[in-house]
Amino acid sequence: MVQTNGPRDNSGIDQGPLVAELGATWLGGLEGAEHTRGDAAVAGLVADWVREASLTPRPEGVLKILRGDMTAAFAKTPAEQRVATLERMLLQRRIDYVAGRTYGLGVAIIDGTVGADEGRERGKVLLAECEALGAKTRDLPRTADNESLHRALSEALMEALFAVEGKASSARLDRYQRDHR
Amino acid sequence: MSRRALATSTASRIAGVNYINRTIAGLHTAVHEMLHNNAAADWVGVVGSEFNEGTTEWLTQYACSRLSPPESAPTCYPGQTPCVQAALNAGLSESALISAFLTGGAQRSIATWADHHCSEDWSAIKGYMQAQNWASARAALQPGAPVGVDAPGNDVPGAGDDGTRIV
Repeated sequence: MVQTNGPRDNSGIDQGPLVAELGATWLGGLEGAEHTRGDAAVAGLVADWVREASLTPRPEGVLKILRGDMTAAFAKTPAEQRVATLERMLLQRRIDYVAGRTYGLGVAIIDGTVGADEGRERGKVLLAECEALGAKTRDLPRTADNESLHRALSEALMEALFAVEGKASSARLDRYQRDHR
Repeated sequence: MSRRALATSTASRIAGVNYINRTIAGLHTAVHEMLHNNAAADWVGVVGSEFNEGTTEWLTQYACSRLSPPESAPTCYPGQTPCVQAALNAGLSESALISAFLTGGAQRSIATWADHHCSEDWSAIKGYMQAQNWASARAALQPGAPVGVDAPGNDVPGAGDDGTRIV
């Protein structure tokens, strides 16, 4: 892979060439503010892809799947909707990321590996993250495609509240608590 | 579950009763929730909440496509369901998946099968799914020798190969 001065993580994956390649592929023809938005979304997506891939023993295989998903999604996306599609993909990934961490924190609290005080503090941070993402989802139309996004964020929010208040919880965390009581 | 969660949920199960939010649910929602009610006792514990949702959606689509006339069942779990499809693509048989879901034996049919047939073991795959790292789970579900393991076994009884069935 071509080495650049782009951001790099512990896996050694250089994000620069990937950002450049995806930008050239999907943002061609865009100008001004639209291009700036697209660039930011591509950079955010690649950073999150690398964040996920770097946790596995086969990061290139993970990136290949993610690139394939993007190609498939864009095959049915008109050019004028590409930036909005990129931004929605990024939002989905950020919700997935926070939802994975709220569930993990909830499980740790139930298992007793994280104490109530630490859980509360970590829960507050995740709750703020959920609420920030909530502000971004509020304007999305209530389409079937967006329902999964609303549901995942709702679950994450309830799990963050579980960590903070010890009361409300998500269905999946309720189930875990029942099975591990 | 709180009122706040109920207000935004398509469906919820409380004390053995399914409450379905008719403003945003469809027939497929009822099918999906009934399938949850009929899952084997050992299912979720072995596979985790996310593979459970993906399999339930896969089964919902399977069932709705066989109704007369067929009923559309949208993909509501876009991260989870492709992971289940990845397991099927890797050689897990539909009958083994359905049997494990409805009658039990997921440890052998799913976990042990994955340990022997996929690039990473079931513990790793389940961990990726619970963290909602869907692409990592799909990569790990691809056929191949698990990292650090010599050759994959192809003789796990009762799973994966269409010639074997769990009764």
